[in-house]
Amino acid sequence: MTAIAMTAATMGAATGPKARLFMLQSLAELRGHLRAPDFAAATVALPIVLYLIFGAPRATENIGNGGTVGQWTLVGFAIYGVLSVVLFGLGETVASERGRGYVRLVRVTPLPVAAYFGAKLVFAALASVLIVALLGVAGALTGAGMHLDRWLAVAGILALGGLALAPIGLLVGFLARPNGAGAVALLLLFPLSLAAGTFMPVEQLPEILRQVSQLTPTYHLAELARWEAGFRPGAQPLVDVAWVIAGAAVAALIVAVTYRRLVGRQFA
Amino acid sequence: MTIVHTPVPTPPPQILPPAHGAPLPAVELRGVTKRYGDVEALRGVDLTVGRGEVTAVLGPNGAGKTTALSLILGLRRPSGGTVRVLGHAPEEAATRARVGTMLQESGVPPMLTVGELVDLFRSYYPAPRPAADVIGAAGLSGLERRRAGQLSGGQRQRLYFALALCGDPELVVLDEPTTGLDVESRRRFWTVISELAAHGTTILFATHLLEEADALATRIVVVDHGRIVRDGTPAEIKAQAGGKTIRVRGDIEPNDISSWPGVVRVEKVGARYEIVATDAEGVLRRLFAETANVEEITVEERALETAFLDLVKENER
Repeated sequence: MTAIAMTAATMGAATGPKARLFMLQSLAELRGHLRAPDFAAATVALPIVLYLIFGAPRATENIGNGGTVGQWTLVGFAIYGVLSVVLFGLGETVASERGRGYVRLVRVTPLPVAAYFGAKLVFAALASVLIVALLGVAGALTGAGMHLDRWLAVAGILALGGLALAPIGLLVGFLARPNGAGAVALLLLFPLSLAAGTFMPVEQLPEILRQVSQLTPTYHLAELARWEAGFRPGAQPLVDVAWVIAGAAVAALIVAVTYRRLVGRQFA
Repeated sequence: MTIVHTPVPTPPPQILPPAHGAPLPAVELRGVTKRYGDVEALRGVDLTVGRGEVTAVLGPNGAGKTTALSLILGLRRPSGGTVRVLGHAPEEAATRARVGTMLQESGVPPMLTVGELVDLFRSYYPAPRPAADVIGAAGLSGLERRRAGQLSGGQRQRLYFALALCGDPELVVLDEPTTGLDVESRRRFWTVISELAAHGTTILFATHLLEEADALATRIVVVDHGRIVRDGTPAEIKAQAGGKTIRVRGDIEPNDISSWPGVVRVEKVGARYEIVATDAEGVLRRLFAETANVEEITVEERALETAFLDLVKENER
């Protein structure tokens, strides 16, 4: 942690006060989360444990479209992990800081509100990368057979995808009751991971669920990641990218409108 | 009932350009109103707070104190009138850099330590006060490594106070700073605020405790139903709110006594008279001298709260 602090301080000195401010804010955000053991357990460890239980035993088994069970489940649980960072690490945290009046306290300081929320996005991106990296290690150790360069590309897609999902987390943070945010996050985590094929291939879902799944950003993010991983030959990556970006844009717009509304009420 | 009222409401202060070199007032509200839907939280407030003043905004819950502070802090915008803080719009970052704030509820991230939070908040300001200085001024020395979530109520309140000092502010705004504290923590908190005041910082705080306003402020502004109903020094406000209650039995002329200096009012309660007086000693001396058979005398310090509630009630009549 001291090393991170020193890096942040030196980088800050080199890039000016604004960057330093942002760096320190991000560092504080990271510290707060890393010290909360429940966060580490629920958000970072759970996807890896789930992979080890459901994916690892049949990791090398071929699923007939160029991939293995291991590869398929790695992508699924990676999306699950990124999603839980967004919903819990971002959504639940914002809801509780909002409820405790901390957002209001930050608003009366000269810190730009963008830096406050931006630091949370930095945290979400780093936590997502950490989860994907740990899953990559777990996959390699269990013989899922993903090549390193392929997995790095998948990791990049998922980290960016995490940012595209971030507005959903912020929306939970702004709209859910502070005490109910965890429950709301859970209610979103399950269907959105189902749509990403985390628990079973979307093709095996009932027709209606399959059609609804295709409307979610996580479905398209998963398609994109599996296409990049090389076992989704029929996928249309540009369509998926468009869906993910459009979903993020719509959610971001709702976030902006909601924030403006809240500024006059709960944040005041 | 004979009570000398200060003229209420006060006429809007004249707008004068500040004399050359004179600092702009710390806070200036002119004709400020604030409506929430049908509710009028503020109904025309004029208030000028000069530099170095320690001002208490005193009023019962729901009087409009928090609304007034949130306008001064730029958290809300007035429905009418103007708000200036240190001569500028309160929501500007440059203004916020010169104001330190302590709000009623502001649960800081519980996993961060006192020292980390102070450093974090110091990083928000262009010319922060040294960390050791901030921690010392808030009475938190020795607790730098304690996590915020592990602090006691009084300590947490002092942490919020420390966060308000991080930017070395010219103006400190505190919203009900001792709500929920026990007597000892409250007194300890008053000490740290007094020290800040002695340092020359302008302080504006809201409270519903007359005792707190009296202990800290050089000026008390009493707010009720969205208006300023009294404005004066603590001595003036207390005098109006009445000092002591003398209960006495005897052949006395209430109308006579109510015109004595230092008497706020006289009421007959059962067989005895209740004389509320700001100068109880003088009134007693005269009572013994001029009345033949006074007996069963008790003298009681009026609970400040009762006195203050009276003050507000009178305003409603």
